Amino acid sequence: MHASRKAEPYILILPALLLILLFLGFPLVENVGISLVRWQLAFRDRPFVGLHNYVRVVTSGTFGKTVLTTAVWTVGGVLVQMVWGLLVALAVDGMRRRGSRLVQSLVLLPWIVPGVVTSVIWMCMLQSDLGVVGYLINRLGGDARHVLWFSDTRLALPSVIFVNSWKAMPFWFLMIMAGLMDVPRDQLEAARLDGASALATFRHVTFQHLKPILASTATLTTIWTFNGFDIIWTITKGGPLDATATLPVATYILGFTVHDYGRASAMSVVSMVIVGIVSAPYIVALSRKLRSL
Amino acid sequence: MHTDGRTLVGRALALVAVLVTLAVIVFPFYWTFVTSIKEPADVFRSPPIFFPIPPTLESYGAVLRASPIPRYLLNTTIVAGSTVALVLTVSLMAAYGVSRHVFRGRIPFLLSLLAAQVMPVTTLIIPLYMFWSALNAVDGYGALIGTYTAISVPVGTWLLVGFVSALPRQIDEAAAIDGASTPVILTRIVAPLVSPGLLATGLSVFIYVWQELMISMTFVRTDRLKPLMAGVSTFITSRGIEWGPLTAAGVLAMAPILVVYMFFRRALIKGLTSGAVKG
Repeated sequence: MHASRKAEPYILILPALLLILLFLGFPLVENVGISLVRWQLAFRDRPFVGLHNYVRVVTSGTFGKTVLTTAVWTVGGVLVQMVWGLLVALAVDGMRRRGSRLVQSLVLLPWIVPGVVTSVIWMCMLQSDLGVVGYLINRLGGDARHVLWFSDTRLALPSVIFVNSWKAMPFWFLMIMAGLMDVPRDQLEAARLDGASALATFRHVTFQHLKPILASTATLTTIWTFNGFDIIWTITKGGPLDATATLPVATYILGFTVHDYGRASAMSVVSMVIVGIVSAPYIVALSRKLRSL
Repeated sequence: MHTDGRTLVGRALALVAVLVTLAVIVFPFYWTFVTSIKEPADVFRSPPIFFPIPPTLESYGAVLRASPIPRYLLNTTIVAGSTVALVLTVSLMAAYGVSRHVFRGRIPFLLSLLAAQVMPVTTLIIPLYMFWSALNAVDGYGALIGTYTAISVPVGTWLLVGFVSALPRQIDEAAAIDGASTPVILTRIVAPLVSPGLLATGLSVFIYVWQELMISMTFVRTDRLKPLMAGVSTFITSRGIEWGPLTAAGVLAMAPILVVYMFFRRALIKGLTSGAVKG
């Protein structure tokens, strides 16, 4: 009885543990292993090449551009999502109850739509020449006749960042709405009575209370945006001329189009290190909470 | 008076921000739907047609009768349903073990659940592809179900730990004293009591599998066996772009999720947000 009681938790977590070790832990190690061998379709053997794949990735000439594209896609994207989500959340928070529920459920819609469908929606909206957005811009006095939203090398990255932000903004909105509920009304009221401007009230009261939720949401959305694949793949496949090739997209192409598995694995290890660095403070903070459970 | 004027301006600005955002969010859905019910010749008309009268279901007919989309829908439903069932079983067991027992390795196990949630799929996909190829399992539901289950179990367990921990211990302790075995306690007592948690977890896993692209397009090569998103994305490249059928396929691909959202908004939001968010 006693012994089986001791074994019980291990039996209960065993299936989960096996799945995690077999499909997540083992591949993680295996991936590092693959990054150290030459593994290409053209060759039968897979000789150990040390860090050669890493050297080839980093010195490939396009690597700098890939890193820059990834940084713009991630940092720019998260900033757009955050500012947009914050503005809408503050605006909805100031609204009366009646309207705000409907607005909330509508704002959340893009978030649950699959990335592939989001891409279809915006490819349809932003067709060059014939798209409805171009038409509306022309009607409002602009000139969008020759704008190629997704196939102009300078416009493609901002365009896909917009599409991704459209899908990701609602998460920020939701988190900030939840955070706003914790802002003490009496402090807001006091600031108002003291004659503080709306901006000052936001800075000294609202923002102070939102900080923790902004920090954790920023961590999560940074990781999600960094890892983002569906939208770029569906709309541009990393093109035109690598203009939208972020690290995950470039890694996928290297692996499953070029079939240079060694080099693709090396590149994905770079991604893993970046994600590890970004998420470390967050995981450490959560693990402190775990210990106190 | 001064403050009144200022709040009035503030209110007006807020209203404008909300209205613009709503337009940017709602209009694309409307436009996609409208495009899917236009005559093919009307899709490219300039100026664009905002209200196609009379609407036509031609594109839906083409998608449902002359394309593999119905088959893709079936594939995705099978894969997503099996994954949900497996994830709920495995995660509930693990969550119960973690929240009712103190044991060596508990904290490392919980940490591994967290770490697993931030792993980029690109670091897994090559070894997993080799693994399933070696088992001759590429091009089947098994590779997808196995991979998706493993990816979802950490989130699912994390989510359910919160629900199981919230249950008073006395309930299952009383049952244990009455001689109920752990499997009985889990299925008859704990599972019904955490059904909101199972619903939240199940829905978010279902949606994850429904929308996943990278793994599904890599692990399945045979067209007939493709899940929905991999199928829809080939629609874009291989057919050139026929906007009517493509938007109709898009509408069909998101319809089930929108229906789920309409009926289970709270549970869905809970499942999708409290993964790694709450500590």
